[in-house]
Amino acid sequence: MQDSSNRDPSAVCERFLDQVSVGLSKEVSVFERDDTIKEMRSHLLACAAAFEELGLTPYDAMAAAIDRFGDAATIQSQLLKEHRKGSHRHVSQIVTVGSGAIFGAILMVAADCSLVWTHTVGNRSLAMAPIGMVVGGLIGASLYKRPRTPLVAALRSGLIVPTSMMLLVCLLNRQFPDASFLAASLIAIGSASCLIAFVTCWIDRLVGKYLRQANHLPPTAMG
Amino acid sequence: MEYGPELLKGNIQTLILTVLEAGSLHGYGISKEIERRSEDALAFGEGTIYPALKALEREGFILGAWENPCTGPARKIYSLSEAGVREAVRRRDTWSRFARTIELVLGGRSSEQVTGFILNGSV
Repeated sequence: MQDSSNRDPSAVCERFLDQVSVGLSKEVSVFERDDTIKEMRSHLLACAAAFEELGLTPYDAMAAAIDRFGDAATIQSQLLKEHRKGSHRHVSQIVTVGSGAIFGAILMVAADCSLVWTHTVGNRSLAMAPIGMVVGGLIGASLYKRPRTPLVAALRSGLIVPTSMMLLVCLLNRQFPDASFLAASLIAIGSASCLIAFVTCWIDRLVGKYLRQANHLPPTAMG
Repeated sequence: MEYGPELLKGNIQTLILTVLEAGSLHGYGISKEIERRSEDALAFGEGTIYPALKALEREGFILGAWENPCTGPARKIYSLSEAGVREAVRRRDTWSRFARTIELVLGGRSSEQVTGFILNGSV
């Protein structure tokens, strides 16, 4: 029988952790990977110490701890799966907030231009763009959270976007158009923002679907 | 009696959140607490709690902080965030309803009988 106490338990531990981390290196950042491996090392050492207290040799205690810990390949694939879910979520956030900001800027300038064109109020067309970006970005962020269906997103944005845009334009110009013009503008911008929200949500879904297919993840992976 | 990993699939996050409701713990402590509460009936690789912990941390349900004890290696201690407390309650409710539904189907009992069984331990 081989004397297992002569073997180095920390080398066994490191070998196991290498097996877990080797497949993570391509996708998971060094910081996140080191954090996870450090945590697992701490777990294995604590578990091995508990086995040693029961009378096992250091090597056998570490082997038992690794055995309880589970299969390295399974843990690695689960970690990768969770990491990809998180990455997809970030891409989705960028898509919705980014497209919301772009469309917001366009809408804001368009709203101001329409008021200038009708000689009602408005004269700061380009100055409106950054404000529109912020508002559009915030709307994009709210779309990202919920609702996820393009139709509900479109209906909700049809109310939020035109009201906020028109009020902002009027407040910034310190002038208010008459009620009939305001109503007509709200309907026009509302319809446009409905379309934009629908398209934004639809693009987000397409990107999500592509990423899921590329990474062989189930439909629920986007959360 | 031990339950296989298939039955546990998807429920490890709920178990972690529930265990953390009692107080902050590190990964090893969480797995030991699940083992203790289940009276060693829940058999799963202890390493599988780490992907679940990462997911919960990313969702903002738990907060992790490194701690350097006087003896032994550094440990990452997890605690529930406010959203995590709400999520733990939500998941427990969902699980209770699910368990009740399964019991209805498996036992062929009425809804009232199952409620009595769950509350009193007998029908």
